Amino acid sequence: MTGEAAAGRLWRRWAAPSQPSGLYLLCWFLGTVLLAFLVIPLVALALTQSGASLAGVARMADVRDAITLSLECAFLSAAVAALAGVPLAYGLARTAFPGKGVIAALVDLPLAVPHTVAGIALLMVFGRQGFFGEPLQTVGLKFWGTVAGVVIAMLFVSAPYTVNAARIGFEAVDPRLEKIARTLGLGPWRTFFRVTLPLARRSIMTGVTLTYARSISEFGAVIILVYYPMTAPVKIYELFLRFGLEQSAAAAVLLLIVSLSLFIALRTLAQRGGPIRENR
Amino acid sequence: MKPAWQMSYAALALMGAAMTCLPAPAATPATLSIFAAGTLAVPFRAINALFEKQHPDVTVQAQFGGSVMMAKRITDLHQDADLLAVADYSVIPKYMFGNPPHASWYAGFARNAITFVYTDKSKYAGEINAQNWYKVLARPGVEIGRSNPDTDPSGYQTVQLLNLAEKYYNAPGLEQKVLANAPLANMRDTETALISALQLGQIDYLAIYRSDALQHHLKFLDLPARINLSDPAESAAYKQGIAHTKNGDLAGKPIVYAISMVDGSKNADWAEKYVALLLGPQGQGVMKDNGFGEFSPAYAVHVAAMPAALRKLVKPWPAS
Repeated sequence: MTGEAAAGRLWRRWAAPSQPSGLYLLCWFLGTVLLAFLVIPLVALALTQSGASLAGVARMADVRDAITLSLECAFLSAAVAALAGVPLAYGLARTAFPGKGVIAALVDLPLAVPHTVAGIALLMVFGRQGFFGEPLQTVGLKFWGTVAGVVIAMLFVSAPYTVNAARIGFEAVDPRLEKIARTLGLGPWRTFFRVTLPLARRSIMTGVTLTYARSISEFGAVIILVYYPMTAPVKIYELFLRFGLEQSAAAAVLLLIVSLSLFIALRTLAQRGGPIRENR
Repeated sequence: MKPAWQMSYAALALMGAAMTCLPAPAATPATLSIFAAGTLAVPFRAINALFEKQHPDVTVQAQFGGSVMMAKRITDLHQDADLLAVADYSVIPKYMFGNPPHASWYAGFARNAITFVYTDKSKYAGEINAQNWYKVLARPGVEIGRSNPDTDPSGYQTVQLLNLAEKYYNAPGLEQKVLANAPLANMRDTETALISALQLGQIDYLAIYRSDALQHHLKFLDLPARINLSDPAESAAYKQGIAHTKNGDLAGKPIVYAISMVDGSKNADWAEKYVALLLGPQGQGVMKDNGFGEFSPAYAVHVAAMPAALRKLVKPWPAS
């Protein structure tokens, strides 16, 4: 066993086969510019904090509650997006009908709506006198100042990420694979769950992760419907108003650390296993 | 043929000479940056337009938000602003006179009052008036919106008003009963964020400034001057109204808007002219048209620190 062989293996992994290395160099050069742009401001924010100041905000019950509430609500938002968004994505990927382009554009629309406006539109429909809000109130479901309100505000602005990513994933699955599965005797349901869904799994996971992340960060739409109980972004804003930059930055860094660990875990989960690797 | 760099130096020198010949303002197109309380958005846009008309070389850029937020953007975030105008004059000494100081004086230029706005759809809209309001607002099922007393002046001013009303009407428990109809769900960091909720019927009444009520064409209650914090002459009475907040107990004060020039401003000359316009008859006229109380001459704190041209527009703040 030689170190050279190991190094060679490593090199082959890096400079993956048969591509011009100049292309990689250019990609990495341009990519690093963007990466630096994205990461340096957050690192600068994190560097303003000492371990002690982070521990200080972590000890504040209201900060912990706000971060927990954000993570819980974002989880619910991502779950609803997955439950209803993945079927919608499959429908858009596999069926053709007049006006499909309009539906696809409608899915994107929440991304273009200013978030305050999104919040007001939701209040219009889910408020005390709204189309959904009024009947739902009679069964005890309220969206004003409640967890349900946080979830709908998050879902509205973040669901498009799940639908779009899942749709691209489904479109990349060769329909012939589904046909082969059918000729081998699988029914349409089992074909979907045993062949199509596993093949599109990575795209779906990416979309759901994006929805989750976007939900955690949402402020503008949430604050129209719900100020108390406070989600993490609202809490950070309130800390800034009451105490200034230092405490709010500490809480923000704490939220970043929690989110980063979660995203790394989710990405690892999305990359792992399934039949994808063997099939490609 | 002279080398190119010599030519360019000559051109620069000529430009410099030309600039010194022109009247100074015309040669220095400037951007005047104003941070102001959200309630001032409408009148300040009108005054900005007036100012830009009188001084075509100046662009006025105003940003509006919570008063404390705007002060902290100067003191904590080190954002450049030439002027700061706040909804509660005490914000300026509290945040801007700190160490290092960011301002050295302030002038009160407008008054306001706390009131409650409502719409035709509001519960008991047909019955409520300036006499029975505190009984109506305490009825079960009424939803009242208000801003956060921990972060926003109108939030604690609303609590002070209720505290004063309890004594004024000799109605023990008034404050508690009304606040019970204004739970945390009905709170925001600034009350104007709740106007849409009022218009959509999510809340029935909203504690807000009289100026906002007029500008948004909402029905409002004309509450007694003894409790609505509008009259500097009632300062002594207002002190009896206490709001308990996370920042301690706050005693009532008349609602006086104050402006200050920010130390180290690059546009101090323009900022001074803007303050003169605001304190003068034209500026005061705009404030009055937008539902604010008159204030002439304006009151100022640390008059000696003001630019000479502004001193004659103010009188010293009366001791309270």
